[in-house]
Amino acid sequence: MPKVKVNDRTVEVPPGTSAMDAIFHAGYDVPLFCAERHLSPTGSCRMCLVKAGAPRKGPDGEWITDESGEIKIFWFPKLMASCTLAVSDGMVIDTLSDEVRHAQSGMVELTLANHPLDCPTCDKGGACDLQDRAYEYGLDEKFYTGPTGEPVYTRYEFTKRHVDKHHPLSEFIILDRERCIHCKRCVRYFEEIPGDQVLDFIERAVHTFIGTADEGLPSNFSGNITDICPVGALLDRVARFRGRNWEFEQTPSVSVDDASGQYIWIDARSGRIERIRARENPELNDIWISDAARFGHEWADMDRITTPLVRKGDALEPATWEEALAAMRRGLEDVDRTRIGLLLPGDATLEEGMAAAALASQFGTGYLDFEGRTAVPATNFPAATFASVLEADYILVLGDPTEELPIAHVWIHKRLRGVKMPQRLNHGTPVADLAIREHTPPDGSLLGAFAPHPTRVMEWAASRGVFAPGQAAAFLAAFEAALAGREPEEAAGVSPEAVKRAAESWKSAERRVLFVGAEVLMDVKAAQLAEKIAKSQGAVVFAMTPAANARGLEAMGVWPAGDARAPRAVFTAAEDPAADLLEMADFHVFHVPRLNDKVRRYADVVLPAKTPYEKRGTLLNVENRLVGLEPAHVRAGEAEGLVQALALFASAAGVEPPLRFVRQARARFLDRYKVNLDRLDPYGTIWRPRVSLAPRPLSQEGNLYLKPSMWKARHRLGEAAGRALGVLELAAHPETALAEGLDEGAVLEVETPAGALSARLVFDAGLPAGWFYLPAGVPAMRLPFRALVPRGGEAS
Amino acid sequence: MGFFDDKQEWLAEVFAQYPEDRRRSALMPLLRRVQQEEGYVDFERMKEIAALVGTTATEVAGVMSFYSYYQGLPTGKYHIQVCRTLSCKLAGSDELWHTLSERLGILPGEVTADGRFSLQAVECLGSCHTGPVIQINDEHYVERVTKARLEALLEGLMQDKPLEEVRRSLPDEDKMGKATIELEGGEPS
Amino acid sequence: MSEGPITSGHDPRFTPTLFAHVGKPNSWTLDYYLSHGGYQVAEAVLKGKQPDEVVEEVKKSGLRGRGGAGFPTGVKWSFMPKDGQQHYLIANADESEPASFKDRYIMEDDPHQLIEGMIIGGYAIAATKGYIYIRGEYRKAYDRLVGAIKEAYERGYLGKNLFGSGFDFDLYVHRGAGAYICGEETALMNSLEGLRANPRMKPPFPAQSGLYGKPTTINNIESLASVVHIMQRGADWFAQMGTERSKGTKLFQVSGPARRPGVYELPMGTPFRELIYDWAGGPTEPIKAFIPGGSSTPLLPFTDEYLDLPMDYESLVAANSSLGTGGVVLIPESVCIVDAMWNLIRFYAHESCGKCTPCREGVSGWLPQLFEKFESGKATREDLKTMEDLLDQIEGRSFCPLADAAVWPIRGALRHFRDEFLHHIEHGTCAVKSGPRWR
Ligand SMILES: Cc1cc2nc3c(=O)[nH]c(=O)nc-3n(C[C@H](O)[C@H](O)[C@H](O)COP(=O)(O)O)c2cc1C
Ligand code: SF4
Ligand code: FES
Ligand code: FES
Repeated sequence: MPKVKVNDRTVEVPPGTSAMDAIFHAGYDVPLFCAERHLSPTGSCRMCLVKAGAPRKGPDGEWITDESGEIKIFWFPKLMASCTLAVSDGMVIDTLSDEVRHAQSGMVELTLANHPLDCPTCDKGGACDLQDRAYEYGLDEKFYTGPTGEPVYTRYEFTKRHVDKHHPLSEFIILDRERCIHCKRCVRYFEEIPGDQVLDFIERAVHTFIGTADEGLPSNFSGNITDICPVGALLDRVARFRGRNWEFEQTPSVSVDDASGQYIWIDARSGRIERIRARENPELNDIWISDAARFGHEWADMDRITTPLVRKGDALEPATWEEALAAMRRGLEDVDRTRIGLLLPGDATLEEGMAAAALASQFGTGYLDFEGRTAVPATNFPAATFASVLEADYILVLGDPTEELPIAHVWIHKRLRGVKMPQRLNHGTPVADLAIREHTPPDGSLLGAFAPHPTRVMEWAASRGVFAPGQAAAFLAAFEAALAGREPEEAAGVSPEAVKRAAESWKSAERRVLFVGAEVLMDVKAAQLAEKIAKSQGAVVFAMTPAANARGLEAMGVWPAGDARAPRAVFTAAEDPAADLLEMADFHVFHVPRLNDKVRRYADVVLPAKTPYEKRGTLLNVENRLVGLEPAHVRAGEAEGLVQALALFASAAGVEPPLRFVRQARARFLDRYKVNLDRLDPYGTIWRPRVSLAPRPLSQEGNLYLKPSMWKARHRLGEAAGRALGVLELAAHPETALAEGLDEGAVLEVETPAGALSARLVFDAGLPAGWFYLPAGVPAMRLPFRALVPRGGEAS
Repeated sequence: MGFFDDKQEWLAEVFAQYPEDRRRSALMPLLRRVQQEEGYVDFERMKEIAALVGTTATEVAGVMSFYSYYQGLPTGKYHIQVCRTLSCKLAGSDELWHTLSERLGILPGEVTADGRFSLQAVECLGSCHTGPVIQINDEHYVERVTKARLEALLEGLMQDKPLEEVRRSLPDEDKMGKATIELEGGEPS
Repeated sequence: MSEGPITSGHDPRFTPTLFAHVGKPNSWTLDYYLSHGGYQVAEAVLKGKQPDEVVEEVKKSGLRGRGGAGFPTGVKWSFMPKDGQQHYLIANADESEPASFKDRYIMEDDPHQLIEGMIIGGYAIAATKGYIYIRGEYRKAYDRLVGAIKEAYERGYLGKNLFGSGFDFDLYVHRGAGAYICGEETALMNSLEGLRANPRMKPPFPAQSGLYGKPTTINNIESLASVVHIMQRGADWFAQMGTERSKGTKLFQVSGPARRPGVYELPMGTPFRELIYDWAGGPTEPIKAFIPGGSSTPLLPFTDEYLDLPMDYESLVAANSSLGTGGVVLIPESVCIVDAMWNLIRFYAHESCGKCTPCREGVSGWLPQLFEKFESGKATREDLKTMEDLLDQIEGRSFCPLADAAVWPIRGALRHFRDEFLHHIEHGTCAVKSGPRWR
């Protein structure tokens, strides 16, 4: 490994390391604005200039020496940008001399020349790279003094560039063009990470500004630019003016918006969540999170139930916990315990799942289930890790990762661009990774993508196709035939050529990764085929479950038993249980954070619940990685955790609660599995549970297809996300819609398990005929299309 | 209807110049075609081009605004581009520019009321020995734009004669387009 | 005069080659070209020489890139890997440096010469595809090139299996759209790929990963045209012209108030005086300064000392300037140097690509405003100091040489004509009275 001398310290770094990273690795600092982890270095801000030199070898292969016999250092004739300079053996780097400091302070001066210096009103204040460097260099008397020797922080006396200061790029992001320092991080980010080129520089020279011509930044990953903008030019609009950086209480937690368990920071202030930011996990989400994880938190502060509620006639009235307990006792008095149903949300933690499963077995009930459960258990599949995507020779996607498991979209894109897992240095991820190159187009030959509708990753894939909903098994049968060298039949709309091409690439690959979405997991036949193909070929699988903690809950045994009878009483921590379940029972206890129509209609007792932002607990993510939720400081009245609520419910039913606290569940977990949930590895701990559960089919009938969306439960979202998503779009092939007498633009009320949703009809000739597609909460469900055109619903 | 709908053959020819998976290279030729025919590139056209070369409207806007030639606002039938760089300046391009601006009564970005003229100051056109130089639309240069040649030029354009014809009929045009030009006689000393 | 190296256009041994046909009727047609020996060199090379031999011959000739930087062409070619990948040869016809207009006439009047040079160059570096990146404004040159390429394809001088040698060469023309930075080779490749034309990071150098990520060589038009004559007449013929380290024949340009401004082909090492007086007919008014090699080169006083400088790379470096593209501009006494520099800095301010801080904020933002302050007579000595500091902050610190190119002419002006800046400070006006210049 090359040895590099940084000032007085010599370090060894891997070949290809940038001088900048060698400097950090050696424990020195170098200022920077444009370099950023996981993005291609561009060397554009010129802030990181250093003096560098290297020895040279003579024709005899020996180092050239100077008069005194020392190895001679040939200094570069100019100062070098350390972020774009690769180290070489024997390189010498100076970051401390006056020459270097002077050049750097000159660059600060130039960077500030057109900067508005409105830190007092800027949300970035206190967490701004430019502010820090301005403090560090701006008043450097050694370099800048006025006529009478007084320190001067800038000599720029002309009118600063005045451009758009409050420019909303989308519902989520606001741009201040005066503050932009043209580091290009945001532009590189969009091109290199999600691959959505929705932001770019416009104009050139000093007039260059950031802008978009694609309204609303269509991307599932727009919010990350607010984290990486080194100044206050791109700000989280949802969190705008909600607090100063030093006022936030920052809690490291994980997102439950999908099954990846993206690492987040929850920034709360005065008992309210103001902002979510990405938290680095180089094995899981790097420094990126989906927009749903970032901006989908507003609901947690809206209309919270702060006390228990008990039904009095038509109304739910506030009550004490004692009154609630009494009401539950009364309601459960005559109920056979084996006829009590327990329903959990899909993001219930391992600890909660353990408590629920224990209680169910105490009750002797088989009715134990969770929201977003798939027909076939996700734990049936050999789980892949995200890092394995970068090693894959072929990736086959059956589903829509961009919506079902957003961070997977990023990993797939990284793989297609040839990005490798970065080396870890003393300071962590390299800041200027010279192995990442700007403008590297994705290599589609590594990817096959098939789904019941066009998807974003399909745009990259060399083999791709759309099959009709419910035809995943037919597609997989054709794929299996092609693998076996038989001629595949046309698979419900996918051309045999595409199937063959995908099968060829799959066969010739050594390391294969398979993604299966809810469409496959909801279909027993398809899922079993996929499992067979994967296992027989040694492929690893991402089972993109709708439930964030499907694997964890399955591992704890939260799964309906074969002989479960219709429940008479129901305890549900899921906010949106299927209406037929609720209809079956006569007594309903809801443990939820907020009211909704179903709660109002069915609940007999409501216990105030914590949101996932307030919980301590563990999820088992799609990779079989244990990741931990930590409670943020959110004011939530008397809200209690699910373990406690279940314990209370157990007492009401007259049994000794098997678990009362998360702490107890963790102790039991340690005992059983030898994993300490209090001490997970910083980036999560891989834990492979042994589970064997039988498939439980779900009814799938009809021609309305509920398409997966990263925005899981619309009623949960809050204002900004609601506005951003706008009116739902009901998409159909023009012929299909016209056959139903529906014209493009018609506004309809569509019946869904989450109630009637208003949607606008759009035509899409790329969709299979005969189907209506609605991106709504519950994914990959097929059900009868029932819609009504409201009066005045204008068809245009 | 899309601008390129009836230009499929031309499109195929342009795309054939670049590798199959590098359609984006055709971005500039496509922008130029719209600019040539419509005098500017509006948002709808940007979207159309984006779809044709497989990128987003944002990227098209980013590229388009980088170059001086493509215009985001409508231009006149004769978009007059005047070189303002040093050699032309030494040949009087500042005065030429002000004269034109005054005569036409427009500033950059504006179009004369009759829709005929718009003006743009541009940088060195690579004809420094024949300054001042102007270029109209995407045509061959008008070099050595003396007062007399400017008069003749504007007169021709006012009559909407074909550009090339007007240029050819300018006084001394036969001396132009040469690698060296002779001014007021003089032998090598 | 007939011994030693040839360093004057008057030397009887010197005959123009690059410009031999420029200005002749129909010189741009294939028939004309063929009737003057056209494509015979390419044929001989493709049939009779190995690619390495071509590279060696060009190395031996001492040809240095005519795009401004003067890097030896043969050495550059030898950087291309031998890897069987698709390689590209790009002819840089962006020619946007103020005071440069030489390449234009090769393309307008002798386009086949360029095509032949590219075939030979392509053969030497195993590039079967070539692009000519031509600045968008060169409409006439574009028309002529497209016509010439069409003719060449029709008669088998481009396309598959040229001269039965088994070597294929396809050639395309890509038009720019008004951006000086596109002359910088990596920005050019971005532009050709349909991206914003910001320069790319080096390494990787184009020879490793250039256009579309493939090994690529970028050469100036004049460099490529020179190769035809080197391969025809031999490296020694080329090397007998010029000085110790600046060899061959080169196109020089004269603009500004001269009697016969234009492009002149002369041996390297010809003195400025000969170019300006003998060939360009001398000034038409009193001159005080001249730009020696295009707008990026520091200007020099119009004195005997400098007029007698030989036009070669080394002499100009020794005079704190540079040969650049060989574009000479005469600056008359009646024009204020501050005003002239303001004009140039405005050019660079307009053409900065905006990528890096020193160029965007310094060259494009701050410097023009400082100059404006000088022009408006409000500048102080403090401003002059700030300007000089600013030049230090910019020079050598930008991402690409464009910002340096903006700094250099001002450095020259401050070195030789500081008093004109001081006059602006002290009197608030130009040191000279300039009258109308438009005729
Ligand atoms: C800002 C800038 C502008 C340039 N413009 C041109 C140009 O217009 N034409 C040219 O041939 N080279 C130009 N160059 C030089 C090219 O980058 C490159 O060195 C040259 O084309 C190589 O060809 P050569 O080796 O034959 O000279 C420019 C360089 C810079 C930094
Ligand atoms: S010096 Fe910087 S801003 Fe200027 S053209 Fe080069 S990269 Fe662009
Ligand atoms: S140039 Fe911006 S960090 Fe190095
Ligand atoms: S300065 Fe006008 S053409 Fe060069």
